Amino acid sequence: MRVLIVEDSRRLRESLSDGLRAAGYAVDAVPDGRQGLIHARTTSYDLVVLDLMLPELDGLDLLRQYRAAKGTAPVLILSARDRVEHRVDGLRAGADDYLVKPFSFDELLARVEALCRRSRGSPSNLIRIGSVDLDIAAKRFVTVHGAVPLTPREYAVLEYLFLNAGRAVSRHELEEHVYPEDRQVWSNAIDSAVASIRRKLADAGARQLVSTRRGFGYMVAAQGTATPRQL
Amino acid sequence: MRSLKQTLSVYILLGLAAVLLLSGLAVFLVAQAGIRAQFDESLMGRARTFAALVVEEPGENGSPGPVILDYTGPLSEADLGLLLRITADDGTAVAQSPDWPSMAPAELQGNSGAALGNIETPGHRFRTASVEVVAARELDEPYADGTPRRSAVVDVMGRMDAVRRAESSVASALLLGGFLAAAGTAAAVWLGVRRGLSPLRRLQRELVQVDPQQPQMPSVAASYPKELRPVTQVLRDLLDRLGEAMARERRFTDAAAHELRTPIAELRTIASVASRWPEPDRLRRAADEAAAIAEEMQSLLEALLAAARGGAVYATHAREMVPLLPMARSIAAREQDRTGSRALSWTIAGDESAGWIGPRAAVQAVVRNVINNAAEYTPGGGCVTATVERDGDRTRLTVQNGPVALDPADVSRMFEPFWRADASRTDRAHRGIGLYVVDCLCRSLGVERAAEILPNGQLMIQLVM
Repeated sequence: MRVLIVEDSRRLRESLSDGLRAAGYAVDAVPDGRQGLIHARTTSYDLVVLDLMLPELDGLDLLRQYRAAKGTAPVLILSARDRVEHRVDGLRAGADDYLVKPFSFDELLARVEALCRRSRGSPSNLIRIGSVDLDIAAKRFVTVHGAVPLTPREYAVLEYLFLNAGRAVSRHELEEHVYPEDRQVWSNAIDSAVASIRRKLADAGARQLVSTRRGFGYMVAAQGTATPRQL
Repeated sequence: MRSLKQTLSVYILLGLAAVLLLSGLAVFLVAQAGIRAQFDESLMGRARTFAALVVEEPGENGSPGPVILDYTGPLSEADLGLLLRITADDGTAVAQSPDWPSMAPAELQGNSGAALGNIETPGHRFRTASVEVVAARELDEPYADGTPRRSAVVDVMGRMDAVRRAESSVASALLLGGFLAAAGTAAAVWLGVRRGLSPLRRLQRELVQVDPQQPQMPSVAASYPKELRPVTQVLRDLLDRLGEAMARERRFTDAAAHELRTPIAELRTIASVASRWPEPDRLRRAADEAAAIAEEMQSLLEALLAAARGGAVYATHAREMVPLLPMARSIAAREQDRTGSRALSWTIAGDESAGWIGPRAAVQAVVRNVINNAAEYTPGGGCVTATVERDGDRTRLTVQNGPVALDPADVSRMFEPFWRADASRTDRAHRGIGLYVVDCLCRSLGVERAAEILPNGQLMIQLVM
């Protein structure tokens, strides 16, 4: 999942980026509203974390312009403005959530997960397809034989395919949602990751879930909602 | 304490009562004098009437004859309406009412010769009138031998009872009229006072409805009577100032909270991430950042405290004459070094000896902050000017910089704590405290300050002591 952070405080921007990357997200971070709007409109993000008091372009103005341009990514506002009217203004401007500074990073992470999950239409943190369970909160895939040992990048690719199950996802789209913009992506990085995922799933005794749609991309077939398995 | 309505009513009614009493008394006295004068005139007229009926009958051999009353009617008081006595010059009684009081003196005129007088008998009071008359003769001419003509004294007495009854009637009428007038006036006063005080009740109702969070008068002063307009205008001004002060306090509280929330948010996030993923590099970076944040928060708090304490910090410092131009020059030189890359143009000029009286450190803090602010917020290629000049017995420091991206409305707020033209928080150095410190120190030094945006887009701050 790819997240855009728009925050003018260098320390906060860097620590949020660090924390979300460690949690398995691909993160882009910008220091002002103008750059934030450009990024949001030109890249498909799974979530935007937005400060309000920004230089160049105020956070609320950024949000309104983004929504006016049919931007659909969920937006989580982070702000020191704590009055009810501020929260109301933010939500009415198009935000999906509002978190007041200072905040608990754990809470921020939980809200990020919830927003990303809802944006993909997944009501639960547990998704089962075939014999594989995806635990979004724990960031792991599990079969009857145990957890599947995936690298962070492999996890991110398989998670994105799971969250978009039933739909062919292009290589480009996978690159956009799995890698931050400051990463140089080799042309076969996705293919390599998918190949590794297939091997590991086979080793774990799970039937192949990731199919190739030639000319369209990769796909995980959709199945019923997950029933929590004893892990 | 007596109410306003009671005080007004009491004074008005007391005044009215005094007026009614005095005027009633005057009317009564005038009426009484008139009644009595009329009675006297009537008595005197009757006395003269009877005097005209006193005649001298012819005597023997041409000598004076007896004096008689040429009147045959009854002489009782019931018939005449008064008492009559006619006495001839030789003391003989010519005529007398049968009910003439025996206690009446022989001569009513007495030695004073007064025509009118008063006599009191037990239970009665009489008014008397006396007329001396020369008895009429058939031949109304003096005697040949010079003997004086016969004369008589006509005395009439009228009872004062009727006068008293008339006076009582007048008094009663005046009392009744006065009572009715007093009652009517009291009612009018009550209504008038009540009506007159209704604007005060309206004012009270409006003040009760004033929102304590946003105090302001709901009505304009012109809607009140002119006597209350100064009061309502003062109240309106007071509430406006109170509202502005509360708004400033809210802005200060909001700004202070915001200023503190961001570094705290940084601290929490850095610590949480380092705690959750405790890699050595991350832990080291987190510790360094935490120390830097703590230092910045301490610096912020100290700046706030210094501003809040104002000149109290310098209370023990000696006061002296501090020339401003050399100080401004020195500060500008440091700012030039600091902002060298932005190629600002500097002009420092004026009266070398003009200065302010105060603790040197406080004066320096004012000059440093205002020049630092000018340098900080002037874009590259802009200019900063500081001028010191005398204005009578006062010294003015004028600092101009620009062009600045400020609205005229920003001028009224730029001396508030944490205010910045750019509301973002990109640079922890721009906390918006500098001009607030200037404002606090100016108050303690007795320096007047003013700021405006000039037509050329420059900001001008003037400080005068």
